[in-house]
Amino acid sequence: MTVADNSRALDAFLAETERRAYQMARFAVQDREEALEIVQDAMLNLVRRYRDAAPEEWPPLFHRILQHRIRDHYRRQKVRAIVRGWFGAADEEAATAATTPGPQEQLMQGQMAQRLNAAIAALPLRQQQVFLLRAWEGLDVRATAAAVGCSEGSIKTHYSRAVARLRELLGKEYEDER
Amino acid sequence: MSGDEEQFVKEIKAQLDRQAESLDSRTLTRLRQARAAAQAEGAKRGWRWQPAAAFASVAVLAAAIWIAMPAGHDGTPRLAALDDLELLATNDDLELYEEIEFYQWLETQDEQG
Repeated sequence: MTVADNSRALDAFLAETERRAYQMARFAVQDREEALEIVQDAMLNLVRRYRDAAPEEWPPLFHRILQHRIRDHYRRQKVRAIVRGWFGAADEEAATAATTPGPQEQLMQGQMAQRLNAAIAALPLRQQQVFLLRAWEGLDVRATAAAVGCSEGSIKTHYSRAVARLRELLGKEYEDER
Repeated sequence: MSGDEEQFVKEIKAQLDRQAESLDSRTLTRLRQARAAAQAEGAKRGWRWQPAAAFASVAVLAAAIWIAMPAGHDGTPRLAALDDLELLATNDDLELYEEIEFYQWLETQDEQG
């Protein structure tokens, strides 16, 4: 593949992936700006480090970088919350503003979508990552394990728990819709 | 996974796909900008050679240095040439070549005063 072909193929891959990547980051960090920053960082890292990798390797590589950044952010958030807890009440208003969709977003989303988003956001991070990578992104067990950084056996466990939890929270609504 | 579970997951996927398709224009613009910035970064380093090509280029450069380096009075190559070979062979030094565009730009700044 020529350099120009490689660049076009990489651009096509990123264009196809960026919306889902943003949504995944948004579910995890619950902040629009942070999610955008995480996706941008993942794109930059993929281009810098792996632009010459075979195209079929880009999806697991990109998602490995993305999920790593998400976990990084998640850990920092947790530490910040703990430290804030030590020094008194957290900044509740700011936290709520960051996580609550704005009026326009809510209008666009619809009730069902809002409930789905809330259910996915409420999953433990690992289950959330595994579910979205397997069910939405379509990565196989091996690639998901590489992206998330755990064993293939753990991936299956996290996935089945995530599905069970989502069915518990949403199952009735989806059954009623049919 | 049971048939019911599979159907449930399919419906969730479809819902997530619909949401991704209806992202607001501001977010889409930011994502496009992020992608463009990443590609620009890649283009800056566009002449970062493939590993095999890089090795070949380094080898040619090393050979050129070796040939150009004058031998000692008894005909033995200077030891400095071996140091050059080692320096050229490390990945760290390949990064220097990636900065050449920056140094060339710096030179033009100097010339313009």
